[in-house]
Amino acid sequence: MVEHTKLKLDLVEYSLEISKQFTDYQRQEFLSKERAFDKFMEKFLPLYGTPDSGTEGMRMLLYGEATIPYEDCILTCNKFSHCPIVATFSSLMNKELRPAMINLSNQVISQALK
Amino acid sequence: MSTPYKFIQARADYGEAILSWFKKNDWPQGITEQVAKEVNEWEGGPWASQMSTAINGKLDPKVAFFIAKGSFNKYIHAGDFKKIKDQALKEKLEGSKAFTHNNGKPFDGADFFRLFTGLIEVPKKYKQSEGKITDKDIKEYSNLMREHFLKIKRTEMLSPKETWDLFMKQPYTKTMRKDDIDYLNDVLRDDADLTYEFLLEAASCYGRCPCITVLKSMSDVKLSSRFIELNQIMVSYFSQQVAKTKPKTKNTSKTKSSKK
Repeated sequence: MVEHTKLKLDLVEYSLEISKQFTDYQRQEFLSKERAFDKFMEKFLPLYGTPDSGTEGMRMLLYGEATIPYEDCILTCNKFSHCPIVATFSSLMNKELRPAMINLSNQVISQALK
Repeated sequence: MSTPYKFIQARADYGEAILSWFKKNDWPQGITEQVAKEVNEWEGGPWASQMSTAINGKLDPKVAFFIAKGSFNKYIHAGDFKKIKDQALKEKLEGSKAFTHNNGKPFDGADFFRLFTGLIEVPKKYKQSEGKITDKDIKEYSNLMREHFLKIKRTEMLSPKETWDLFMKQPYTKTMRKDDIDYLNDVLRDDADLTYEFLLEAASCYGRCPCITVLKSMSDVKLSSRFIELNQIMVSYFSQQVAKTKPKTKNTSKTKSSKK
């Protein structure tokens, strides 16, 4: 229970890091928010299908307007054993991903899979 | 070698007054040089580059500049432009007004020198009101910045990403702080607008608008006259704001004032 409270807290921070990574992506590719989101989803959808929180949920997460729902996190981690968002960023960007995001991703997955 | 730039209020006021005069006449900065070359009756311009630097309050001229300025003003006051062969230039000069005192007497070279050194006040009609920069001006400046970036993209036949890469390759960009580059990236992508705080910080850190400096070196595409004008207003205004907020210290160091 304590672990999962920590997971919920980590998800808030992790979501923030994901939105920062999305801003890095926009800047790197010099894309508008909308175009960057389309490009992200073009990579995401064929590999992982529609996200558990829906396309709008993903948009809100990337735009920094929402946090990853706890239940979706557990489901996704059990399905893929890795974070599809990080994997998508990794295939989109030629620069190193944010270390803070990677660390949090690892923490979140290990907690979710317990 | 030019004297390192140091903010001097009288020079900034002088620059604002000249800018105001040019605006009233709807003149480009190069007009003094064009007239001097066409008329060929006096030496020393003033040259377009001198006018630009003077308007920014950064010119440290020799006496010849003031004499030339007085001659130019006398010529404008006389209003006889027969010697001008360039029709476009002639049209720009028709109906324009000389720089005058409050009583209507035109400035001569010595008057320009007195104004530059702060020995006389800026005539009322050329005074720009304090706190003139509005959110609307800053928004317009952001838009003009984006428009120019787009012009470069089109002229050079580049993709948005390639245009940004060209921005990043400019020598001046390499002297800029990463956070500022990121912010300008957001502005040029239309994801953010410039803010009063950013412009104040830029004036404090760079002594100029870093973005326009980079845009100028990216391509031969000419900046629009409104963009140039607004840039001068911004630089002049924010330099003054910075000077007001900085504590006054004796200037004894010999270090360069330009910051990187």
